[in-house]
Amino acid sequence: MYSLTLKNNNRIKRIRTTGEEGIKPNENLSFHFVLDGNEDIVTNNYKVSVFPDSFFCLNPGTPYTSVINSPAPANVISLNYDQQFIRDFLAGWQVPSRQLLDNHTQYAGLSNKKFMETLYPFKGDIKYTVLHLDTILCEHGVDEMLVDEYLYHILLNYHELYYKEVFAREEKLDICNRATRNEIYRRLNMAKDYLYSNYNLAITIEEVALHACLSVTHLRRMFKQAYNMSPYQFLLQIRLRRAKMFLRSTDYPVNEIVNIIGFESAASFGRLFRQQFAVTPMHYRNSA
Amino acid sequence: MNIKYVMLSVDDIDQQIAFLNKMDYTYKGTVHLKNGITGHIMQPPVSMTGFVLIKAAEHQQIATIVLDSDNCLKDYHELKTKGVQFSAKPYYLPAGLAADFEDNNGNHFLMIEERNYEEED
Repeated sequence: MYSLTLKNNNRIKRIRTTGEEGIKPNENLSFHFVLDGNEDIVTNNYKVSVFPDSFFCLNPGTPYTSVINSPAPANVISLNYDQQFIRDFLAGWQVPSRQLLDNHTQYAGLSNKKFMETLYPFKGDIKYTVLHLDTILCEHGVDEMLVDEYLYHILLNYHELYYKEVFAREEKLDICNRATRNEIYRRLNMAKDYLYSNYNLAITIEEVALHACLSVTHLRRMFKQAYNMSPYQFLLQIRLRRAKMFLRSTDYPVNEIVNIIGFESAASFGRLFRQQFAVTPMHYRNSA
Repeated sequence: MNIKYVMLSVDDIDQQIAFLNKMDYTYKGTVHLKNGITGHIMQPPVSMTGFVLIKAAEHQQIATIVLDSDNCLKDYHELKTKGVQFSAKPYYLPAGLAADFEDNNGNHFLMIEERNYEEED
């Protein structure tokens, strides 16, 4: 565990915690990563559950409450960026040529807008960078220049991810008016966050649509355009990925995992798992 | 850090692959390097140093040593602290994170942390 405030006022904290913490002010851009367990983050009447396969971004000025609901303590890493560090990053950062070629002019204007406060997939480069930083801080102590290097790369990785997860998906919506497209995509993210946060419950499409303030028909159509799959298929993907996580990191019996992830039938879980990953759950566990 | 690959600049890629096949090296596929250069990876039969073949016309240097890093930023920082001059900050390739430098004789070293982007969950 560690809690650091660097000379440039960037803050990094890893805690193993449980229970609820009071409302925290959040003056800077911050990211929340959960290594195990899960953390509920509540902001302005909006609640998400962060699991190890996702992370959450908070803009400067968004107060939040953190609640650990899992029976075991959760391992949470939070990064808090000083605004001057962000300004310096943006001053030296160049929009990757690929994105410019795609004519995403709004990407170039990223510095002027707030990021979408939603769950992002914790995978790829950002995962490598955060886990390397964590290892360094746990095993080697603090070398501020090296830590800054990681923090710089996490911002870099986040911007790349933001392009893929926000701009590129939003562009896929068949809506001409940009403001409308922005708004619909924001609501689709609410639907997506709801699926991520309640993946283990028997949720209905009506419930998701209500949460996202969209009609069921509209939600189905727009969701498919943005994510290339229906909300139900998206939910199945989350459940199967998290089943993998439990198979890998716990010794829970498969039947118990089936219940935890919200499947009603062990047989259909086994069939879908095999279809998706070309391996049975037990074989996956044995080889993991 | 281990030497993972030695880059060979050759006139005829197919001929060189055939030659290395005789030494039990197998063709693993391509790797996209900086400046649009495509390398052809030859994997050794056992845990040895492999080769990356590039067309001679695409690259003027005789050899590039590819170093295997398990944490490129950490190794980059450590080497930089010891006075090694890198040509640029670490950058991302389809295969992972890389950084390159030269020794005093102009030999080129490419340090790469290969990342498995397929294993996402």
